[in-house]
Amino acid sequence: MVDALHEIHRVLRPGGLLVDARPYSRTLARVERGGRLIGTLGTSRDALGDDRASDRAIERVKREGLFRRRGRGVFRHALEWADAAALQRYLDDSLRFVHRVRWRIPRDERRRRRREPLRTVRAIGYELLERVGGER
Amino acid sequence: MSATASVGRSIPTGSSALRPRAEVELAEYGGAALFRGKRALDIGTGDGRLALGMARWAREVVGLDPDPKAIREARANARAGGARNVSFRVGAGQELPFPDASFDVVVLSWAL
Repeated sequence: MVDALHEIHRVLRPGGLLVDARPYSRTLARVERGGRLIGTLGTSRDALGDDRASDRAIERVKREGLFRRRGRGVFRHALEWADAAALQRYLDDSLRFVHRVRWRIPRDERRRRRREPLRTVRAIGYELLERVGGER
Repeated sequence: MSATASVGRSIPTGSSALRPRAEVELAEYGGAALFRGKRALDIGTGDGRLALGMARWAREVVGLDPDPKAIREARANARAGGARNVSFRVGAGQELPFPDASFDVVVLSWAL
């Protein structure tokens, strides 16, 4: 990751900008139905490890004086699912999320309404980094 | 702000259908003000979702991805969309096949 950031520093002109955007794993993703929070989704251990490694790489190149922060933010990304089974199929293959929803509603309600649409909402974090420093 | 996609059946987890719409995501980063008249590089471009979005404003966009299949798909999407200022190359971020100081903006979206 640091190698890639060094390469990006090389190909950016002085003052150029790097946008680094990734799912923001410090907050749980929401599972909603009709706007109501009915469950949460955690990030898998592997994805958390990858995110931490990416964060460390970004911090390192800032310490090296190659980039400085020009801005950052978080926005929400929503996906609609036809029903709970469709969401579960996605989770079965997901490398980012744990494979089970942590439900906040009773099991009988989940069963009764299992064919209704669901929405997941997750946070995406980004940082704008200005290329500074001389040639490496 | 939220981006919404409708997902009903099985979709590969790397699919653009599972990512925000390009115009929504790029607006968060600065939109036209960030890209207008610039030469931009999209690392991990996949099917070209963001690169093609940037191409509306940028002078030139290059999309890079290690997956040749994704690059073929990105080129097909560019042809279908009539984008003339965007090109795609197979390559990895660890060894960028470009000269020094050749880009104004680099985007790493879900790629680091």
